[in-house]
Amino acid sequence: MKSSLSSTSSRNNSSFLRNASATSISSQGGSGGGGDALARRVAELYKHLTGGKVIGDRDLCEVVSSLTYTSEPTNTQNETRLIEKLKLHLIHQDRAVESKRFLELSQKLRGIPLLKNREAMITLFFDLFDKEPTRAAIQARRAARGQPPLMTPRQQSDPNSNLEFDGFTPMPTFSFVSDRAMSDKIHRSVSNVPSLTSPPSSTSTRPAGHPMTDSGYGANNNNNMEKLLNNGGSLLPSKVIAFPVDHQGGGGRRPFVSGSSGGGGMTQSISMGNGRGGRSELHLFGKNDAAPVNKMNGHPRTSGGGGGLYLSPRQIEKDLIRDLIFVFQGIDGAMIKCDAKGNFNVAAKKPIHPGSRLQALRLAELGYFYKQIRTYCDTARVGLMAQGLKHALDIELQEYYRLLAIVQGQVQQTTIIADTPLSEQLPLTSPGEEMTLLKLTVWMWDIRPRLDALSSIITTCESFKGGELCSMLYKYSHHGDPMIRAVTKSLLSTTAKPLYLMLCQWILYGELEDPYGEFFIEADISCKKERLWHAKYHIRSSMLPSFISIKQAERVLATGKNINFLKDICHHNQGYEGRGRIKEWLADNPVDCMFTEDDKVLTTVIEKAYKTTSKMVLEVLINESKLIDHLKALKHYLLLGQGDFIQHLLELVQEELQKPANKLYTHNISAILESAVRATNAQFEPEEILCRLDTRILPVNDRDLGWDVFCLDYKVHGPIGTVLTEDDMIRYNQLFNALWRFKRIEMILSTLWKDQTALFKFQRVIPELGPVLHRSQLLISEMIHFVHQTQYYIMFEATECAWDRLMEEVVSRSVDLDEIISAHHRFLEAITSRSLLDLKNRELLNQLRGIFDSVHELKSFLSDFESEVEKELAHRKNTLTSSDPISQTKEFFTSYIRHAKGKIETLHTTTQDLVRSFLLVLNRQPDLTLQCLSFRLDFNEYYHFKDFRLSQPLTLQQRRMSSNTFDPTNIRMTTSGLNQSLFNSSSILESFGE
Amino acid sequence: MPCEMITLQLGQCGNQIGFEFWKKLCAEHGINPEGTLESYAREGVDRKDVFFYQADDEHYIPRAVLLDLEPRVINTILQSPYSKLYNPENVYLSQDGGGAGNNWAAGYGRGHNLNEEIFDIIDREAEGSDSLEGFVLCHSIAGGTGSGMGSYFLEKIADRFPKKLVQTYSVFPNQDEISDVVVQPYNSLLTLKRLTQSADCVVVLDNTALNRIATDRLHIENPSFTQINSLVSTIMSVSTATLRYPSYMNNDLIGLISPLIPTPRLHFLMTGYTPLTSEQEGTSIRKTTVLDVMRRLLQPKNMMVSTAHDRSAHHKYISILNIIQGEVDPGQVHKSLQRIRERKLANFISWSPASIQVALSRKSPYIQTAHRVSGLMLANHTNISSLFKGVLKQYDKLRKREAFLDQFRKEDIFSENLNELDDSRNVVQDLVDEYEAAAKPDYLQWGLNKLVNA
Repeated sequence: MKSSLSSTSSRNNSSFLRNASATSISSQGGSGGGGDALARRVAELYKHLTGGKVIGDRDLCEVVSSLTYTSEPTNTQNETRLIEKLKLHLIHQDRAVESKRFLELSQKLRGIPLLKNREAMITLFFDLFDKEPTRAAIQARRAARGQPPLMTPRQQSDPNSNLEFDGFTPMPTFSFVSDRAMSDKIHRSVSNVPSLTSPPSSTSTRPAGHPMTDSGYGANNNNNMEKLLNNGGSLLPSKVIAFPVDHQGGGGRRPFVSGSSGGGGMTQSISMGNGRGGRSELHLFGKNDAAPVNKMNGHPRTSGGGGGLYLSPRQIEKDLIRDLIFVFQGIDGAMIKCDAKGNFNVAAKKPIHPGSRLQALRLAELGYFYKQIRTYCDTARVGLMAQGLKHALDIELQEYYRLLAIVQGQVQQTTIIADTPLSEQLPLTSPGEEMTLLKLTVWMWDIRPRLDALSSIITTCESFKGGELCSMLYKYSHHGDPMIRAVTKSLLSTTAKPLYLMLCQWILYGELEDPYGEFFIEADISCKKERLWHAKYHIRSSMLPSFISIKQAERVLATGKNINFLKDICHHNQGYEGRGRIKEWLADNPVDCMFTEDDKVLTTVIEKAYKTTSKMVLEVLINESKLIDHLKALKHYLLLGQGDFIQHLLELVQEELQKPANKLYTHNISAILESAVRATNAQFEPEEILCRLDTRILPVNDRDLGWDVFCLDYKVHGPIGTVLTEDDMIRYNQLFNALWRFKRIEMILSTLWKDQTALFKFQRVIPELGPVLHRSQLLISEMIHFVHQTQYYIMFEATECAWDRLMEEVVSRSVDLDEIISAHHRFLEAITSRSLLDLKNRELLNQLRGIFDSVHELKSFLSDFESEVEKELAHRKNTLTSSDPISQTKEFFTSYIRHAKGKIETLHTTTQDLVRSFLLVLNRQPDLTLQCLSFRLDFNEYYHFKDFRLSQPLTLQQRRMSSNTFDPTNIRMTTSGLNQSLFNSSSILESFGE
Repeated sequence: MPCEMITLQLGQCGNQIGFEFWKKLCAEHGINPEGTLESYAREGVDRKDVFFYQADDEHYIPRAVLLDLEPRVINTILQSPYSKLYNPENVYLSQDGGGAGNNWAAGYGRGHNLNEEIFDIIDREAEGSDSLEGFVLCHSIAGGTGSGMGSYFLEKIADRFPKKLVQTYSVFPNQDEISDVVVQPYNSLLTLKRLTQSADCVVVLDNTALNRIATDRLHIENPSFTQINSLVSTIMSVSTATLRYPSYMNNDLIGLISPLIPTPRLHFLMTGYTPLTSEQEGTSIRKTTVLDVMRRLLQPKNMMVSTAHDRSAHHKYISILNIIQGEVDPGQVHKSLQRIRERKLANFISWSPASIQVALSRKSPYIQTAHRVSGLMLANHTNISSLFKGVLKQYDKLRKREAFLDQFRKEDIFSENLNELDDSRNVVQDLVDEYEAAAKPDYLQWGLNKLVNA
């Protein structure tokens, strides 16, 4: 036995099968060299197979040597590597002395022929090293080596001495500890995304971990025995399950239980070393199907179930393996079946050793992963990116399939051999080749975390599509595990490919090819052409991949908008300059440039495309569509800049506008407009502008006069309609209407003024007129002053200043259409608020209306007055000639003059009151430009002297304005919430400072 | 085209300044002396139609009527390169020659005689325009033709076209030098009465101030008429700039003058212009900003009217209109106004709201100037009364001696009595009184009480 042991141990002991057979050889053969025995058996087998032929010595030698030595280097290597690793580990922990000692001891260990499976022992050490060494573990080590424990107390108390098993995959080690945290940790190292819910396969909830009770084993617990269970289904101890039993006292339910494998009953517990006789505190439970002898040291394992069909454990394992091959492909096996939840369960009633069961379940997990991935792939998914993901998964699975094919090949090979009748009799025919669960685990070791990762990724991504899907995937690309990062990257590359293509298509041609709504830009197809720029395209924020910043997305959106604007609105189809280069670039770069963080190239390209297209839009708008000319035209016609035209139009149209609004006919007004254009400088405007100029009648209310509803209009079809939207045009109309009122009042006052000179001539004939005329003259001049100054203010301080800024912004500063649009909005906004038209100036506007009303009142009064005067004049001429004084009329006229005097006086007072209160409100305005108006209206402080209320804020105002270099163009709206008193006190301070 | 203006040039002085005015307008509008448009001036940014009309052959013809009783000046015009510019039918030269002999009464009487012929021309011109806004009269108040005939037609036009405005550019005689026209005070007074009663707006061009400006500001020792007249033509052209280059406001004459003139009689406007450069020293370029321009415009030395020094600062501005041309940032206007008010550079009347109005006007693109910004001020100032007082004083001196009245008595208007002179004196005195009253805060009350006092 000794010799056979030494021969096997010196050879391969990574292969369970070979170990097992080697053991069985040694146990059966009793004596003789392992090599001889093997040769003999091979010869026998040969004979059996060939039907009596004797194998030649040379052939036999070859077969034996190939069987014996094929994988020997790996095995010794494994052992050496393990030792090396332990040593290194000790060195890392600054325990050089101990590592030296360890080396010595391991040398000694090699020298001990008694140990069959040194590697397993070392792995055990390794495992134990990983955990806090318990007394039992030390005992176990001592027992294993037959030597006193090596660990120093310091070492024992070192809780951080976790060993990493990365890169150690050829000889995988599972550590199962009853401690939940521990198993969690292990799981995490396989696949864990902390923020995500664990898939059902994870941690102890996975089907493999389903606890099973073992009553018989429960008794063992009471003995406080530390058990190391080699549950690999074979002697190979690389699969070590160590659990400190004393962790759970009562032991009713235990995480890992030997299970109801009573029927198996073939457990062989090998006591290592002399191990304190029957009271050995450490047991290695191994299963050796080739050694049906129960060697029970210490407490024998009592079988729980007792009953059941007898099946050889080897056979069960084989069945399990066969099942697993199916399970790997998502198909139920005979024993391992999938339940409704998709969890795989090993048929509970089968007499399977708990270790095997566990291992099988763990392996079955792969099937679970596979099934999930497969389900994802097989389910019809909406969207190109999900399709991309499917494709990527397919690629991943191909790897898996390849592996499965190999594994299956291996299994098949062994099964063919095993299925031959001889297999029962000659279990040694294919030593080292037979597939075991442990071996399968090794085979599947590499792929497992990958599948796990894939499965957890797709579980998270399940319900997403398009950009959102990419975002989800992208999250994984920041995972701590480099493997997951790599997996994600390849998935993302494939998944995001459609996205990249969409992006290219959009940036290059402005086309949206997005049948499933996956792109982060969406188009509103129902959108009207005029609203293309404003409403057609949006960022679909849910589909915005997290690797594309909002700013980038906006740029991308703007680029495509630019292209579409050029195409659809400007009919500019030849594409933009530099598109070829951008196209080349986009084609040259892989999809990955989207999510490589430090890769600035995509940003550069987007920026470049955006800038080029924006510039082109601006050029087309300004040079071809003559945006500036149209803006100028709006200023000239709708904001009354073309004074001669407006003046003339006013004169021509006034008669028409005097009619009630509902008697106003567009054709009449259009004809008038036409003649006004022809008679003035407007005729020199390009046809393109003139044809857009039109009149418009605002909605009519009852009792409206033509004046109230008349409006000039400017048609803004074509590309300029994007800058000048309908809303803007309504604004323009409102502005026109307001300014038009001013013009009308101005005209009335001019007429009154002119009439005064005529009336003044009558004064020589009727001197009594003097006082009335004098006052009315002064009133008129006051009104003229008011109206002119307000107009000056609106035209220059409001319109021209805003216009200057608009031109500066449009011509020199704007880089894209949006900026022009917003500059134009600011322009309109500024004019509206400074022209007292916005809502918060309601009060001012009403006062202004009041002042205008008094102008109308004055006008009607003066026209009455004039006709009375004319009558009187005629009368006086008559009396001069006929010398027939009629005292009655004279008296009447005197009283009329008295009445007129009173009337004009009242009018004068009311007007002044109105102006004063207007000024008061104006002075309270936070907008400094509005205060400019009050400054202009009361330049010589006439009203200020008349009203003490005006003086205070005005002086402060004045001081403040003079202390600052006040520029109305640069004043923005001051926050209205600013406390007025604070405002004043600060201005006082400023004036002190001055 | 609306708002046309018909220009009447009367007498030697009137025709001279008129001639300069048209020269200037032609240059500004890019019209060559033959009346055709220069090739560079085809864009329609300006309104030529206010002062010109187009003949059938696209020639631009001034709406001008040239009247004189002696041929010298008109002949000069007709021999100048601009001879073809004018409509020959509009040039009226008295056939009998001789002129008015610097006699107002003679001029007035000749006007009466020529009434029909002249009004044929004026009516034709008026009918030729779509919506005539008014007349511009260029004349001097001291001579015979310009003052006498000018007065006559002023009265007649006011009667005939009561709804039209009449603006005059009236040259006041130089008080610094002894005039060779001895009856100048009579002429002036008589003309002033018509200007007061029949004109809507009188732009006073004071030869005293113009000469002073030419010598002091432009450093010309003996300024010629041409040099003085170029100053005048500048003022005339700029003061009509807002009519010719339409913008938001002041696009018609009434819009220009109505804010300046509060009551009908206070319609005598002073002018000021800056920066002043003569052709010889066009090189002296100063930095010009809106504030600079507006401030300089308020300095008396830049005023084209010489008024008595107002020691008590009792006289005040009734209104001011600044026409600013050039590259103006509209935001600067407000700043400048603030400065002016803050430093009290302009002293305004207190009986009515008044302010410096600023009209931003375009400049002719065809004339290069060395200055970025230039400005013309049209101001209604109560101190103009001192000019009228001077006229009254001189008149009184002569009248006391009953000097040179024989010539006047020869004419119809004075054949019976000299009441017209007395009447005119009253009118001018009233005018002076009104200006004096306007300088006081109780002008409103003064106006209301006038009847009672009278």
